[in-house]
Amino acid sequence: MSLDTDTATLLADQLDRLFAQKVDAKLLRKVEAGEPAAALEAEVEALGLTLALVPEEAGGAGLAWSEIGGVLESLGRFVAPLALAERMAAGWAMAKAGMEVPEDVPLATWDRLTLSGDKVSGTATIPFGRPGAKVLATAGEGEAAKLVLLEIPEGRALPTIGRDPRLLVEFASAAPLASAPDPMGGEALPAALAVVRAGQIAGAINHALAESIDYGNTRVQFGRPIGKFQAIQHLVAEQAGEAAAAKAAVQLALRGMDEAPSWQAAAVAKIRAGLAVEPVSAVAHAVHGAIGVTEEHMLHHTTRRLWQWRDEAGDENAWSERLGRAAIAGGGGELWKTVVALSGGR
Amino acid sequence: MSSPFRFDPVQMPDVEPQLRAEVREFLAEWTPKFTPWKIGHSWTGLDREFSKAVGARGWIGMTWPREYGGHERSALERYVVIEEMLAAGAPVGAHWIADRQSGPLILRVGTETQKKKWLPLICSGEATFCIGLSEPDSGSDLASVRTRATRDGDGWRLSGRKIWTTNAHHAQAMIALVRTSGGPDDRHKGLSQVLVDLSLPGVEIRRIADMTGEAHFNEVTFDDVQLGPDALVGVEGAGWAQGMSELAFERSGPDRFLSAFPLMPLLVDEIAAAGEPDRLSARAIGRTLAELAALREMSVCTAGMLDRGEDPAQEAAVIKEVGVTLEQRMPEMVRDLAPGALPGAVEGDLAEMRAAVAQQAPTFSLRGGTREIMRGIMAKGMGLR
Ligand SMILES: Cc1cc2nc3c(=O)[nH]c(=O)nc-3n(C[C@H](O)[C@H](O)[C@H](O)COP(=O)(O)OP(=O)(O)OC[C@H]3O[C@@H](n4cnc5c(N)ncnc54)[C@H](O)[C@@H]3O)c2cc1C
Repeated sequence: MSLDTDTATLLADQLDRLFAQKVDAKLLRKVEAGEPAAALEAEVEALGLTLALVPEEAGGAGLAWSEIGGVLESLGRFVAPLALAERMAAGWAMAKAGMEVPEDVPLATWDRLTLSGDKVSGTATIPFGRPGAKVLATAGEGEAAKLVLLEIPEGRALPTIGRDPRLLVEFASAAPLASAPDPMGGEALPAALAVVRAGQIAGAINHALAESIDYGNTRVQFGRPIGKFQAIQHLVAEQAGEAAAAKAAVQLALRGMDEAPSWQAAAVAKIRAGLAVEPVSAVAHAVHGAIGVTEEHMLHHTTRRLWQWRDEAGDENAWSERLGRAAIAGGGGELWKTVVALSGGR
Repeated sequence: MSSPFRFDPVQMPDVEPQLRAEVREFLAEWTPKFTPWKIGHSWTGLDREFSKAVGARGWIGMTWPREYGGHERSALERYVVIEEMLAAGAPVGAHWIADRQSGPLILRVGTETQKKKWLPLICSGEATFCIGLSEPDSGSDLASVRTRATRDGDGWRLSGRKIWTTNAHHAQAMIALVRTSGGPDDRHKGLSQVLVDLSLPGVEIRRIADMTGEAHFNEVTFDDVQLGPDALVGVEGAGWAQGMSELAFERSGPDRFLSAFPLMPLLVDEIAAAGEPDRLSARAIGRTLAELAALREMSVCTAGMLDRGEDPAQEAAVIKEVGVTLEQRMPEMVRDLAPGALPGAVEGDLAEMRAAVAQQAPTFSLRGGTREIMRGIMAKGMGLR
């Protein structure tokens, strides 16, 4: 049995309230300086959300993907500096692969490792990674692909535009703590991570839009709110169109992950949300003027993470190329059928 | 605020795959008869025999009551049919406007006589309707229309001029927005919608050639046209509100992102024929698919809202704005990605279709309300105006 939608909304509201209270410039700066938001993590942990997508019989909350849209949006809106989205994705993938999901759900990486016998090698970027903690990764390709649970070795902090911690580590013939065949032929975790990132992006984009509207209505120049200038109205409308398309693509992917999880469903969401990032952030900064690029103003916390997130879990170019290659190989006669299938039609 | 727009997911009916298969089979018979140039005209392309055949299959007026020739099917079944038609570039122009907005308007607010007379003819593909909004001096500022209907005994006398009326030269009827009381300063007050039988004396239709070299739209002059008592559609003086609620149907459908779609399968085949696709071509195709999927989701959800009697005016403006921007990029994409065309030449299926689409593409963000007007509606919805 899955929680009903009201419960899902309640959870998102709860998260909104928590983040509204706790995620401020001070906390974000602290995390960007390398100190984890331990207290916040503990509170989120207590809500049981890391196990959201794990079925009840496997010890989870049994929520459907289409019920966690609000949670992802909240994570994006507040640019919450923790790995909840990644852990929800990891928990889902582990449960789907029939692995036992520990209460302390592991972190996750979208990077693909190589598999030799049962040893794992390769480089991985781990959001909020800490040596000694555990990470779920994909190793090997196609039929042979496995989900592997690994202990995180020492690595180096990767400087990023978003400035949330990213640990870069090297696995050299590492022995997994646990592993199972990937239920989607090596696609489960990358797809899940692409969908959650797209959801965060949609949330952050809608926040940038709301901030632009708000600033447009309050900042006065030439004796009136700048939002009364048609040029500003049209910029914000352009932003709104992109925000709506990103949100719709995410909604589509969440439904897709419930009905028939696939890399294509994830691709649509990550591409469309990723494409919206530049126009939306450009307009947000244009509307906010100089104050919007100051360290002190909150806007850059949103736009920098947007630029970060669109690059992660496969950027829109990589996903587009893959989707495009498949479509070109399928031939023109199949193209419309592909559009219908990608948007949930039959 | 999480988002100024709502797109509530809908459940497509179980018959979806079967219905889709039926339409595809039907279209496979018809589309080879049409040139790439004609297909490039999408829903403004017109072929009476085709529309009659569509009507015979029960695919016009699908949601309307049987007593008026309709088929009492759901709005989402209709959605499946119309999107298949558009994707194939079928020349649906003879029934498109009547099926999309004139018929539903008559059904909603029309008189029994209007329903009995016109709806069955629309359903059979015999009656074409046109939209009489724009006038020489009234474009975006629609409330300034000057065409006037004055009471005359039981009926009305109509004088004035409409312009840019798509397919009026093929149409039997127009639903026109006219002034029935007051003057231009009264703006939205005093406007009404009238149904004009275009065969009446005093109606003159002059074709206007456009840059494709053809004439798709017209100037329609009314010189003291005598209209019967039954010409008024809906409530006198409520023309503005009635017309605006029609616009959500006009702006949110797949016709706002699929008019250029038939180029894409040809483009994909051309790219494939040139060998292993390069990275940028593959990206452009993949990205377009994702954009189309998101638009289709928005549009299907909005169809559900319309079906439930909600008024998604904001959502419709967004779909039109985002959709036409994508449509307009498609002929440019062909130019960017299709290898080997002779410079500027219109030779071969893809080049011919591209030429048709490219010469109409500027109108995508004009017809049905301009891009700037859409953005204005969105800004208003977000509280900036
Ligand atoms: C192919 C085609 C088919 C058509 N078919 C029909 C039809 O069947 N029936 C019908 O009634 N009409 C039809 N139209 C007319 C269409 O609705 C109008 O073209 C449209 O409403 C714009 O009016 P206009 O052309 O007079 O341009 P204008 O309103 O003069 O606009 C010119 C420019 O000024 C801008 N502008 C105007 N007002 C504002 C403002 N307040 N703020 C910012 N910018 C503004 C516009 O966006 C545009 O860029 C058709 C048009 C085309 C191109």
